[in-house]
Amino acid sequence: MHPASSPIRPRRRRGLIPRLLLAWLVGTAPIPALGEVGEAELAAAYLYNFSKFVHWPSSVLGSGNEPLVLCVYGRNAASGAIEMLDGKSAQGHRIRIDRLSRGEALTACQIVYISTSESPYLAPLLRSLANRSILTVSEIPSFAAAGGMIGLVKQDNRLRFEINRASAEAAGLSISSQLLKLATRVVQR
Amino acid sequence: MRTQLWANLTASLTGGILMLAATAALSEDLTELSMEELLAVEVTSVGKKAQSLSDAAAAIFVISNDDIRRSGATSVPEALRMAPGLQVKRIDANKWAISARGFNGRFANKLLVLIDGRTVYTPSFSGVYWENQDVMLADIDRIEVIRGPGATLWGANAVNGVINIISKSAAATQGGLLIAGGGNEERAIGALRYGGEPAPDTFARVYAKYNARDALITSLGDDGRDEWDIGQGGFRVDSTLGAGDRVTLQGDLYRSSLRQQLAMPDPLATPTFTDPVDDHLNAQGWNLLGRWERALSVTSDMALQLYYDHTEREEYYIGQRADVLDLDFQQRTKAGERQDLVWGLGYRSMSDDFDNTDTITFTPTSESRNLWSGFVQDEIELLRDRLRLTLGAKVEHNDYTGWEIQPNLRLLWKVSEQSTVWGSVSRAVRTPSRAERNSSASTNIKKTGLPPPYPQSVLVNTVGDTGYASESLIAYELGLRTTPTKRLNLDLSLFYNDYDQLRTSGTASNQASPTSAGDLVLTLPFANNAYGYGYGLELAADLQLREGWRLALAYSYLDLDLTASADTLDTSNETQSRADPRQQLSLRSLMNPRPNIDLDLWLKYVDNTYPAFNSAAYSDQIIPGYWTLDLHLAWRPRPGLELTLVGQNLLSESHLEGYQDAYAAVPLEVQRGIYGTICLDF
Repeated sequence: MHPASSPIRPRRRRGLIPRLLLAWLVGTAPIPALGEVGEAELAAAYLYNFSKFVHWPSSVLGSGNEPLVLCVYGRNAASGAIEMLDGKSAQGHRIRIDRLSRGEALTACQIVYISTSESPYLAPLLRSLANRSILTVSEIPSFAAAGGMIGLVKQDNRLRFEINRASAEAAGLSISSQLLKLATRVVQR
Repeated sequence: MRTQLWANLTASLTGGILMLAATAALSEDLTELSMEELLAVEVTSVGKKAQSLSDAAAAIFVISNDDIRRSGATSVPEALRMAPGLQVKRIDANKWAISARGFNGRFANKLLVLIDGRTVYTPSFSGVYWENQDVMLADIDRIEVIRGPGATLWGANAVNGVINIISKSAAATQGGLLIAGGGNEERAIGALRYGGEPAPDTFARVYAKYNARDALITSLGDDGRDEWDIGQGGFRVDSTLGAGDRVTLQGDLYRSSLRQQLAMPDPLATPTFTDPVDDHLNAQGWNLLGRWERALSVTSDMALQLYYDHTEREEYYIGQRADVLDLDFQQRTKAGERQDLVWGLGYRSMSDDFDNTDTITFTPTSESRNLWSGFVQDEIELLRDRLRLTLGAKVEHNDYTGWEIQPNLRLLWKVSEQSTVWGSVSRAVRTPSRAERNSSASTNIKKTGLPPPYPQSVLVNTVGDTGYASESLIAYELGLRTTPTKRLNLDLSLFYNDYDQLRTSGTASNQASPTSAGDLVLTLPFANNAYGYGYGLELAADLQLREGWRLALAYSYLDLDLTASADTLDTSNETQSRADPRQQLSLRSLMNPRPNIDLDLWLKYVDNTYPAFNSAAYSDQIIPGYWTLDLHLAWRPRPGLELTLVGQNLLSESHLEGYQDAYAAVPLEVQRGIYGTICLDF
């Protein structure tokens, strides 16, 4: 009644192929399991970093207690992740997240993250923001070339960024050299 | 030597430390990472697809460029097999039958197909010649498969679904791409594209491609004699003008030569009453499309699109040429705080010209028709970011049935960040095709079985009727999209379709008249004497099992029940209602054992079906359900170079998927195939 403990009975060999497959799966696992990183979280992390490496004129963002307002403009899949930045501090200011829908005024923002849903309206939107000290960031393709300040671009599953230095300077913003160095492309015109 | 080694070592160490830092921080907070670390983080794209779709109050499935590449498909029809709710049958080497939510057949007419905004349906039968929609797969951005009516936005014939094939912008296809390869079924695969920036803010690409495909086989293993080839070339220019206006100009030109085996009706050819015909045919066409998009303000934009499309096709039983000119204007604007309004106007001119034969005649042989349309759709945010109502309607005027109105109502409720529920009620019509109005086709010949001097055979003629009206549908849909974990997306759709005025041929007014040879001719005019319903379920699931291993599942269930009124002799609705598989399954495993290697498997199941029409020799025979397995293996030894090996239909030597609906000879089976390609970016 104890076949399991019988010393005579040879152990049944499990299929070689499943075991090889399993071994291979385990063996080939990339060491950092980066499977959980969504584009939204990454975009939010970039926005947080940008808020630390861009300098606003003191007339816009003084030394007082006023918050640094980051506006998410348009219907955006990343807005949930960006809202996690609310309350964090950057350059001594508390970050405040405002969700704005199409057509709402952007004058109270220091950073505007423009949703890709707004790409048809990009030209008038950028015109309305021209020369205001508002940092514009977006994932819209060729955003920086179109006159936006920082364009997030996806390259080989990584998120990179392009900077339009001329647009930023015209708006009175100075972008740290460290950021410029890391940009995949810097537009000068 | 030593310094080189040292440099390598430090480089890999730094890289390793960065990676480790990134990993350590991931479990906590990405915002803690430095800029350099962020640049090293890899994104999983599985979530994004779901997020962008979670906003749509319709049953949408998106086939990405990557999905197409990794499927090993060499044509759009083959790639469509991964979408839930679509039925795809390859009925000979150069013919596919594709439909959504049923009514499939070679002349399926309830699915609207657009390539970059250009409708590719054939006005003679309101369907699509899929073999001639041979876009360059590598330059497709995505294929949006929308099941259910899309008539409010896209107009008549978007009854059971819409397929939107969207190519990449010229800016996204810069540089050169060369694809070359071949195999036992895919005899030759060649494609060349080059993209550049001829002027600032103006991007352009040109391409040319060629495919030659082997014939299928008969059930006895004989050559199906239906081999074919197609060559296509084209261009696209995208330019951003000074004021931010965007202008696109694109065009394509193709020529294909096809072979098909026919059994043509002949009253003298006893006992089968058919003559075998080995038909070599040509099909060609070209199109030119221009689009101008302009932002009018931060909340309003417009688009103006004009295209011209010419197609011709000469085959044994009919020759046809069609020209379509289409002008379309659209404006989107925000109306008040919570409303997004889209409206548009359209005009289409269609002209055709037929070379009549003894078998099929069109009277008149050439005709021009106009289609005028206007639509308005309002998206109302009832609760901000939570509850959205979409109301819209399209009004059309066509020369056959006059005014048609196609409204819809959709409601989307974002239950949480993870889950969205939507529902809709919509009406759509399928307007008559040219054939349904004024053609006459000798479809088949039946034995009477009576002794002489009674007529020995009955010649069945299906004829168009100027009283033929539109088929109509009211569709009820319900959907749920949810992302229970970041690694899993689920998309479920349920539908109930209520059809009315469906096509039948033959009514109480059937006329039989004797011919000089003593046979009877039975004239069956098209009429709208059938009705019915369809219901079903579609499930798409996407699971990121681990980094570098994704599973994608699509399951469809469909039941179609059609009834013809009692006074009709026609049984085609009976056959049509069993022409679609009740259950279908597609399971894809997309694995990257190493970042530069793709190892992909694709398992498919399709239930029993029957041919859609009952006019040919094998029309009553069941097409057995089948399983197939495809394998795609790709290796990128260095950036810009990819070697691919694909095995298709690996589980059996050959299998039957469908049977020609018109003048079919013997059924043909799809064979196991293996091909390889080299893909070079330069």
